[in-house]
Order: sequence, then structure tokens, then C-alpha cells
Amino acid sequence: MTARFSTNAWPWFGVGAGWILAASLVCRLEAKLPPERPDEQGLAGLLLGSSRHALSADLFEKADVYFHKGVEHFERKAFTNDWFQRTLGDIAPATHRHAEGQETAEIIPWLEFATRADPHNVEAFLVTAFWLDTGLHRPDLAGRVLLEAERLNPRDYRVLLERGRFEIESGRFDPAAALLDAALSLWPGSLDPADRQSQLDKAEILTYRAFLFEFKGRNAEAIALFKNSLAIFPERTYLKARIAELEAGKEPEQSARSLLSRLVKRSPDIACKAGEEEEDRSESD
Amino acid sequence: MTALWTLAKIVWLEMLRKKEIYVLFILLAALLLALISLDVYGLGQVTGYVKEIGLLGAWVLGWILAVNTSVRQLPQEERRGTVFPLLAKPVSRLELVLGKWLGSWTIVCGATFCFYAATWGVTLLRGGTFAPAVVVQAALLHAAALGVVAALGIALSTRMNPDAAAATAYVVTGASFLLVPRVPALLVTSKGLSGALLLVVYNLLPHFELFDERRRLVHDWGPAHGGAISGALLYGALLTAVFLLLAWIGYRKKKFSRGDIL
Repeated sequence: MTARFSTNAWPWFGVGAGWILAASLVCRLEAKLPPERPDEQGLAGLLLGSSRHALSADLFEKADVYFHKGVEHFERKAFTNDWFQRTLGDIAPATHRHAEGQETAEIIPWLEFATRADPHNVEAFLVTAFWLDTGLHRPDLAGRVLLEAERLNPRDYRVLLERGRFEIESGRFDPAAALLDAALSLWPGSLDPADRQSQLDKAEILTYRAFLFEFKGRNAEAIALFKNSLAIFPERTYLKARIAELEAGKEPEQSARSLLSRLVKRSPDIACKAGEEEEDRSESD
Repeated sequence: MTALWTLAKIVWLEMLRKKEIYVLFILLAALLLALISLDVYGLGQVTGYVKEIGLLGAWVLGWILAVNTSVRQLPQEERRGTVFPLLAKPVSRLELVLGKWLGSWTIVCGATFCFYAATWGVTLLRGGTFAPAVVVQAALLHAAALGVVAALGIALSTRMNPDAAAATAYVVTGASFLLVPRVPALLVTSKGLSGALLLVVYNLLPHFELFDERRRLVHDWGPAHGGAISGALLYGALLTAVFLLLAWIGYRKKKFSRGDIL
């Protein structure tokens, strides 16, 4: 009952203040250090070893959760109507909603953490660039992210494809052609060539490059690339029609430029096509 | 009632003297300041990650404090022998149990609200904010959760030494935090015995997810329905009462002897 509050806490405060100062300095200094080389592990690699891949994937998933306003992917439940589940529905809402406008900036730190945890998580770099460009309208920052991704992953075709797409959007067709050629030469890299996404990417590279040949009036090369793209996805009727028009020597109805600009154009709405399907499924359940 | 507050005051003074709260607060502050030092492409006003990690820190540190504080209160009095003069005064064993719980709960709540304040302050420094109504709801629910954890710690410590009680409390509350909310999804694929066991876990363990409003706080969903909040608070009060009743049942006939202590 006679206990008194000891005021001898100053050493602890000193240690704490020193720690805070040191942590802040580390964060400031890290930005000023020379960038790590592609083959270097970095701090994350040293601390986490191979588990950094899992951490990076988890942080990438977190970015997706932020895009959905904190709601995780739809998961089927054996029951949803007991008191606990009903109350939980009010406490932690699970409605399907998207971050919009400046809210999408909240996604970026998690993607940044994902790329810091694993600099070879190319998908995280690409998604960062996508959101900086389409969500926040900062193509300058998106370009910077892609250059960093290329520096750390010089043999990954996906970065070159994305950079090529950016160059097309900006109307710089010659650099775009060079980037797409480089992307094609590196395809599929470490990915499985039979994987649907890598097939889609290849068809995309071929189609963009074919249109760029068409701009230059090199129709024979354009036709060859369109045919290669069509061989991957024979159901693409617009390619069939394009090939037929070019082979017949006719002026196509839609100019290559307008078609290409439509193909490379993206908006935040495409980020969650699966989301609405999930929502429908959950409602029908 | 005076006895309860006097007992609670002893817990507060002991906690302030031990300095654990300051150390945890400094840890959280260092983490938060390191986070706001990060420059995320110069975007400014990006505060979601600071809120998320700060609130996670408040939950984890509050949990650690609640378990560690509550499990040592009664065994400490027995080990020091101070339980004898305490019980010799007109203080019943029920009052001792309730007073120790009240002290543990209130000091941990105070510390946790300081963690909330630190997170809010750092968020403001970064240009963001929280919706005050949601903060009030979240703090109330969090306090209810801490009440349950403290009551569980006290109940376990009536029949175990502090280390065993802490380990058991961490396992039970950890499983409740992590496993119980996943049970409805796991039951989609789990049938037979494993399904039945999961259902037992679901109905037996506390549902701490009902006290967690971080999604509303971080993602600006606005305040929850008043009925749901009252329901969750009542549920928390009921769980606390059950654990305190178990604590009293475990403690009311417990025999102490000076020989054991020495």
C-alpha cells in the first residue's frame, strides 16, 4: 500500500529516444544508399532468406485487400446466419467495394513493401506501375518503377512488355518497337511457356508489334506477326479480319493507330473483373 | 467497492513501477516513427499502412500486457505472503479476485488507449485522421476484449503458476483470435469428426473477432450499427463474468500455507 511511482525512468526514455532517432535515420539513409545490384540479396534477403518470397506474396495480397477496402477475397462459409456471423457482418463489413480516386494511393505502400521484400516479384512492380499510371495519373512515377524493375530483373520480358505499352500510350513508337522486340526475344524467361498468362503476354507482344510494323507500311511483317498471334488464340476474329484486309491490299476500316490505342488503354475498372463475379456468386449462395 | 478500487490501485502502482508499459509504448512509437519516415514515391497523405500497423501493434501489445499482468497478480500475492494480511483485513476472496481483475483490466485499457493515441497522433502527422465515432466504438470493443483476456488470465492463475497460466492464456486467446473466425470456412470442407471438433471450438472459445473494428477504422467504413456494438459489448461482459466466476470458484477454497511460500 506504500508503493510509490518511481521517477527513475529517464534511462529508458533515453534508450527509446535514441532508438527512434536511429530508426528514423536508417529509413532516411536507406533512400540515399546506392541501389542494390540484381544479384544482391539486400537487407530483406539477409534477414528473411527464402521466406521473403512468401512475405512478398502476402504483402502483394494485402494490396489487393486494400483495393477492396479491407475486405478479403470471398470465401464460402458453411453457415452465415448464426448470431456471431450476423454481428460480425456489422462490426467488420464484407461488402464488395473498391478504393476509388486518391484512395487507390493506399495500395501503393503495400506494393512497395512487396517489392522491397522480394525485388524479383515482377508482378508487384507491374501492379505498382499500373496503379500509379491509371489510378493516380502519375505516369512519371510509373515509368520510374518500371525502370527499377528492369534494373533488378533485366531478363524478365514482362517489364519490357509493360514499358513498351507505356511508350505506345505516350506515342513514342520507335522505342516501343525496340522494347517489344527485346521482350519477344526474352519470352518466356523463367515462366512456363504453356501457362495461359505467358501465352496471353506473347500474343499481346506480337499484336502490338504487328501494328507498329503496319504504321511503317511493312505489311508483310505485320501479317506474319498477326498470324503468329492468331495461332495462339484462334478465336480472335478481329485479327482474322485484319489479316484478310491487309492480304487483300485493302485499306483497313479502322486505322492501326486507333486500334492500337484502344488495345493499350487501361483503366482501374479492369483491376477487378473477378470481383464482381465473386460478388454474384456470394449473393447466389 | 472501496476494497476493489484499493486493490486495483495496487495493481496500477505496481505496473507503473515495473515500466513494462513504457517499454512497449517506446517500441510502438519507434515502429510508427520508422513507418512515417518511409517515403512512398512522394505521394504524401498515404496513411492506411500507418493506421493498420499501429492498430495491429495496439492489439498485440495490449494482448501481451493483459495476459502478463493478469496471470501474475494472485500468485504474486501468495508468493510474497502478502495474501495473508490482505485476507485478514475485511477483504473477501471474491473481492480479491475482482479487485485484481479490475486493476489489470483498467491499467491495460489505459495503456492500450495510449497506443491508440500514439497511432492517431502519428496518422495526424502524416496528414490523415480517424473518424472519432469509429474510434470510440473500436476502443470500447477493444476494452471489452481486454476484459475477457484479463479475466481468463486471473481464472487460470488461481490454479496454475504464472508461467503455466500465461502459456495457457496465450494458446487459448491466440487460437480464439486466429482459428475461431476461420471455422465457418473450414467447415465447408471438414466433415465427420474434424468438423464436429471445429464446431466445438467455434462454440466454446471466445469470439474475439467481434471486438475488432480495425477494418472500419482503417478503411473509413463509418461507425457500426449500435445494436451490433451493444450485442458485442454484452457478449464481452458475459464472457468476463463467466471467467471471473470460474476464477472465484477456483480461488474460494484454495489453501495457502506459509510453508509452501517459503
